[in-house]
Amino acid sequence: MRTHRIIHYINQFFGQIGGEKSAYQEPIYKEGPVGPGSFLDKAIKNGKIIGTIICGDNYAVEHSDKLKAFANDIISQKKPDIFIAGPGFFSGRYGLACGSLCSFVKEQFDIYCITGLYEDNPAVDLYREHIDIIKTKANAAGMKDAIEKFAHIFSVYGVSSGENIRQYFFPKGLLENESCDKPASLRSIDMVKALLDGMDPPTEIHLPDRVAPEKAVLGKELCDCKIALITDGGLVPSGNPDQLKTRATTKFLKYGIQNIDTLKKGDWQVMHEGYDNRYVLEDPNRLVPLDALRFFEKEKKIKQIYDDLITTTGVATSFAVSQKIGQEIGTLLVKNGVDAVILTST
Amino acid sequence: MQLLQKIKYIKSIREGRQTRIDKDSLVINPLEIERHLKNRLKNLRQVKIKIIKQYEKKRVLRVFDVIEPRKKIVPKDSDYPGVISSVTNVGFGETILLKNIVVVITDKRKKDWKPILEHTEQFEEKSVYSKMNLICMEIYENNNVSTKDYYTDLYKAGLLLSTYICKADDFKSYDEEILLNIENRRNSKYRIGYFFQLCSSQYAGEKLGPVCYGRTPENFLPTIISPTMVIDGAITRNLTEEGFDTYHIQNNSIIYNLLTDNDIDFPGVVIAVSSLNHIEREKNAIIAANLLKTHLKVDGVIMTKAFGGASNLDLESLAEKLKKADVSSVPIIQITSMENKLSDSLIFKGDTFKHIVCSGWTHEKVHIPNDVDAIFAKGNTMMEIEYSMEIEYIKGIIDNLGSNHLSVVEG
Repeated sequence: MRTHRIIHYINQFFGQIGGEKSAYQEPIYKEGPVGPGSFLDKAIKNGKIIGTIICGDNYAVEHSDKLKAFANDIISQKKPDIFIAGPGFFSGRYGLACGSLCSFVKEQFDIYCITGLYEDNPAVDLYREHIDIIKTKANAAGMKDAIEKFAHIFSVYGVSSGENIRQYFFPKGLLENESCDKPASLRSIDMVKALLDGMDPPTEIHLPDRVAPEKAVLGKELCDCKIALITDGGLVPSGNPDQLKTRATTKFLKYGIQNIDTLKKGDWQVMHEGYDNRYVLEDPNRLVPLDALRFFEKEKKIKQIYDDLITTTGVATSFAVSQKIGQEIGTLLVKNGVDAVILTST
Repeated sequence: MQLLQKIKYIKSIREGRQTRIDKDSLVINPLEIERHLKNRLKNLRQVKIKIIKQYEKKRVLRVFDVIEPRKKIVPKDSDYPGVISSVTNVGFGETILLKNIVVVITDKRKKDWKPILEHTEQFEEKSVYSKMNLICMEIYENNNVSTKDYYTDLYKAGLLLSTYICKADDFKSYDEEILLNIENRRNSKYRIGYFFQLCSSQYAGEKLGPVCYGRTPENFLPTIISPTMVIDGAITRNLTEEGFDTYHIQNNSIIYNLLTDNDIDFPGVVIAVSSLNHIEREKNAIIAANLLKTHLKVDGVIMTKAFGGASNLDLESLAEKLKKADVSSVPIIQITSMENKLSDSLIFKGDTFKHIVCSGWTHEKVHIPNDVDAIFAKGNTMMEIEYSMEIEYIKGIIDNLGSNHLSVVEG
């Protein structure tokens, strides 16, 4: 029974108006399905596309407010309970329009909104936290597959919890524990058995291939270098004024050391739950060798110590956070003319 | 090597004049237990024991360890060798197990009240301990007992209590027997080993304690051990409350499942500790890989670890060696970071582990009601309890050794 009323959004190309020359097409509305909407309409057994909004890609991006106002009028009049945009595949402008419109319609009308995009489409990261986005191939060759996914999703829409369709969607940005039929031990045994049978069983975590960063080359003599001190050992001034966490931190902190020759016991504490820090508390220079570096500075073995100690906590820090913190620190150091770093890790 | 486990299910628990098993009830006399423990541990001044009955709504604070009551009856006096008995071989003979009951040791020296054990209906489906009968214990020591000695006594007291309440002479019958045999699987379809990284703080700190036949993790090299030894008291958990409970070692889900799968020849476990630096990591990985490939001759390996990022690197280093030796490996890991992409949560290189089992995200927050009485609470501890708490601080939800049913998805 075709109970759901669907409004579909597509661009000028799929709306059969024209290609790039028609990219400034203003939004128009047509009753019923258009272009790929016809296939979608047939595939969705429990819903009907009652109308289609079509807009040129350039217009949609450059005049997004006008497109939203147009969509607002249409949806107010037609009162759909589902809004589908695209799929926009790898098209940047079309993808942004799909994500932006879905997000707008969901917020304004609180109806179910969904689009489909290729994983590298920039709209995925912009909108995946707000709306449902199914994973598609890069171009229209993936239209049939996308339509089948939409149809499957709507076949269980409002009926089941949708566990079996979760795989279709880009994650929205939160980790969740879920309960499995089997304990982890049995799942691991099944996985090893499958591997020994020559199969490639699905992994529970897929890891990308990591590219090792290039090693920096020091292009000048040490005596001409400004050196920074960095630690991931969680050294902070006593009292932990900036509330550095003892684990899973997402930030780094900097503390002025320009007028300090040595890190005195009692002035510093450790916010790090991953190592025996008694020796550091006894003498913080053993974690951050400021005393030794000052000696070399006075001896003119190095030109200068960078004014700030940079500190963070390296416990349960994910790859992504480490990368982000590293890039931020790197930018800061380059901006301040630092030539080299002594980075102590625990 | 065969180990016969004789299992008794305890349906209820009560205090009485003499500690004993009465049909399917456990009767305990706290004063009798205190006398027993004080006879064994010279630093003890007082032992406080409280029982929490099945389905009773209670909270236990500052949980240090959870232990399933067990006692070796053949050979006698071989419980937790090297820790509370003299060093002798275990993993064979007969052992009594009490099920549906655990000993919970609490750490009164701990400044905050985490981790906790929630003995409430809300957690019955989440925590393995929430539906059990509990015997909770707190110890008080004489003046001037060092931190190290306190934690050593605390752990020993828990093991002593858990063996004492089994009191074998009181048993007339058992509810179930399990025979674990590691010798008769030569023609099985798969030959799979287990790499078990122990709880392993390694510096000479206050919580450095026994991990294998009483010895500490310092300078510990990977070694082969029988699966039945692991679950029969040879392996203990160090003195830290982190990692896994003694209960999880005793009920190591991987070992039980490998031993009871007729398609699998399970020749042994390689135990190791976390490496302190890159050189040790490389050395330990080479040794462990050799033991697994050359001596145990396995084709596949399951790996578990206690906690920590460095231990992830240990597993990865071992997996690289095994891969070169044409041995497949699958680690069971937990997500301990706050990231929203699973692929960003781990520091493994993508080309080493293509197949990973994930047994939970430790930062999931669950609601903690404030209308639950806490035992051994001090002052206004109840008022300090947060309304939501990460599951890593709630005992019995995540088991690093694979018994829990959780996995992690990106929502």
